Amino acid sequence: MGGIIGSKSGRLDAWLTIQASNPTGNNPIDYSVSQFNGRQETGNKRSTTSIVSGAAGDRTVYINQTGRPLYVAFDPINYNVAAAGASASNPLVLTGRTNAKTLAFSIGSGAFIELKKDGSNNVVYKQHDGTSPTGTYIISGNGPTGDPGLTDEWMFCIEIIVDENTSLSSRSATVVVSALGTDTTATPVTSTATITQSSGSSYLWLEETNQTEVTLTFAWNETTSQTVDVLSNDQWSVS
Amino acid sequence: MIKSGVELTNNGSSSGNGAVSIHPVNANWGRLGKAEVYFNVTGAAGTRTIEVSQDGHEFVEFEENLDPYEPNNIDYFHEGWAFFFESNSKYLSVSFAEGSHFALNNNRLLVDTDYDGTYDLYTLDASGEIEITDDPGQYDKYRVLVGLEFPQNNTGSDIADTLTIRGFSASGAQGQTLTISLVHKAAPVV
Repeated sequence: MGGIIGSKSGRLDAWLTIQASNPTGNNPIDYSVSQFNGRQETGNKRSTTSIVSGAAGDRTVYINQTGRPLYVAFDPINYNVAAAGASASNPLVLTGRTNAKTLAFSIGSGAFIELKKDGSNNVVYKQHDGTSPTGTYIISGNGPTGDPGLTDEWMFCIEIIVDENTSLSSRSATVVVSALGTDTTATPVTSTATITQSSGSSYLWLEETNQTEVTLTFAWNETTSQTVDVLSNDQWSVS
Repeated sequence: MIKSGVELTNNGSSSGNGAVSIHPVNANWGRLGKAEVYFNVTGAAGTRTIEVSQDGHEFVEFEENLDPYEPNNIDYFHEGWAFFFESNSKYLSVSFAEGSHFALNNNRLLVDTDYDGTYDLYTLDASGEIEITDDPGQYDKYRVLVGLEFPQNNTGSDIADTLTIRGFSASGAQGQTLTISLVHKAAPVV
């Protein structure tokens, strides 16, 4: 009695699905595969074999699947942050997916955000397991050890520090991630995330932040002016 | 908006960061500091307060621009001489160093607290002092008309004296002093 097995060892690779509805006589065997997110590069493929056994002997089907073109995408692509901003101890975390070998991050626009940096002032990022950051910081322009993108998609994340928005208008910034494979001379593939920050509240201070009262004292015959600085982001009047 | 005694100049933008400049319109002629004047800076975030106060001071001085004409050069034939001074003291004392030639007219001072030409008459007590009724000097200055009387100087020599007017505050502490050198000139030798 013949049969179909995935390889000579008898195990099927999980990404391969074999369907033979009528394994007798002249009938087809349907082979289907799951998406291969490993990076498409020369010589990079995943392969397996399928053995078709019959009374006449074993016959081998070689299955090869090429990789997915280099890609990178922030996921999600849009982020909202409160007017208070995000501090270094509680940053805004952008996440995404890629099969790249290396990633590089930069600010596309917005002077009110800052990318996470290490003690040597290098922009750094981390891998992400879908729940939280993992591993150690990776310097922007480099990639995780072992080039996991060759064999599958991996997640990344980067921390963003956002200044407080003291204006009465919302504002936006963008962060760009550039992905490269083994060929560093190729044009990078990019993705852009947008950060939208809520507008701040109206404030009004005298001389310095949080000061609501000022006292001016004049000598009996002093006629020169004394000036009180008004700090505000809104309309104000004096009465 | 202008508040009593203080003028406001808003020299800054009324939107965003700016500045408010304040200066008193007048000097404070009272002994007491002026009551605090409040300015409100109001915006959507609330009302902020600028408190303004002006120090007081005590003085006894000739009235500005009315310095008496040459008190040290009174012609021999004059038999009287008058001048104005200003003060804000509660008490005033008048004394002459010599006291034999010059004297206060009727031993009194004439005080005009409203600068309207209406005078209150104050007679010096035995100590040579007067107390200004209701102590208006706490809040503002007043004018004093001093009249001196003396006989013609036919002695052949100049007659000199020093008139001292002292101001005293409510506590009795001496404030300022106005000292005037008087010289009644001798008649010229013909």
